[in-house]
Amino acid sequence: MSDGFLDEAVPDSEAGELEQATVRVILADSQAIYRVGMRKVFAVEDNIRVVAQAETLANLHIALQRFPADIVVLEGELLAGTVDAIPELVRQAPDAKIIVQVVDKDESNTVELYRRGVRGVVPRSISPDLLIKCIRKIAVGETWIDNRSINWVIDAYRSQASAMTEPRTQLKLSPKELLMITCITRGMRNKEIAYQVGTTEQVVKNYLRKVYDKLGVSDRLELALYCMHHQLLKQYPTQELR
Amino acid sequence: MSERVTEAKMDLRQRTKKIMGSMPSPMRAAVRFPLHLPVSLHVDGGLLQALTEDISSTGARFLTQVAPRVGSLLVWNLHLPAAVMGMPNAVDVDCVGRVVWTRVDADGVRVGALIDDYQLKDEQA
Repeated sequence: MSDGFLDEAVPDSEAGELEQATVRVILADSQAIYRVGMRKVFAVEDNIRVVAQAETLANLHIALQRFPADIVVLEGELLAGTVDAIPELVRQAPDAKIIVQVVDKDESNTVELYRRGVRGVVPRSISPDLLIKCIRKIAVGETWIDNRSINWVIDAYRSQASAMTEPRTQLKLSPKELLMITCITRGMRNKEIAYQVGTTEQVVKNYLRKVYDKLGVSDRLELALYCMHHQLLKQYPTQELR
Repeated sequence: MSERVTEAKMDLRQRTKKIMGSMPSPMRAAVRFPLHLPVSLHVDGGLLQALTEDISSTGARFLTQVAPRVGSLLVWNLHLPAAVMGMPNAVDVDCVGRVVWTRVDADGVRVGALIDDYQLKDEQA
């Protein structure tokens, strides 16, 4: 297909006739073999229907525009190098609940995914039965999280809450990172920052990810509020733009 | 300047309406900053003076004297002063959200709002 995702989706009229309990799924995975495999697994389920497939993040956005979905099963690798991909997806399709498939579960990545709005983080090696169970649980509004991840999330929540609202020792931010913060709080977009700083958008995204991680913030507004609450930029000389 | 602000607010309203259709009730996960900033709330065609009590990236709590209707669309501007921000210019944040709860108590009316969309901009821009 020219737009990169299969148009085997249910036509609107047909979708309307489906029972309400039908869970509409979008598969976003760069590897066709996974998409085909998952599709086969879901095909034998009465009320799970794959409405679209996407092999890139850009195509997922298009798919979400065209096909209302209850669940997005997203390959974690598609998020590599992005900063706000999950919040953007949540903003675009607030009704679609996101499940991320990861190769390795590590603490910081898992916590970050849940913090940004995903409803479940599962391994790529998940068994078909468990994936179906996970989809059904999440479709009815639950969160899919194992005990280890619960501990990670709670620990992160505790430490973040205290770190963000209490005075802290001075952070080590590089001049470039401070410049990025100044640009972001001035409302500049990544493209504009890249132009001003004389770099690429991807480099700006990398810096932003580092800044977000260092400060424990998750988006631009939180960054601005953090700067104001901690008077962060007052601790450093003004970062001049070119 | 005021025309540009109005245009930006209209744009934010339109974008918000698109995503507000059947918004689920979001879980509160963002950290709240106890910032006390005066704001003017545009609500139901009127203007309401309020003070923020805490703000996060997903919502805000205001103290005001009149209770807006729960579910009302709210438009407001957060002015983050240059002196506090440590920047040459103040930072303005245009926010669009909706009232999710109100509570009357001795100090006035406390209003909880969700932020559906926002736009950061330099005061000079």
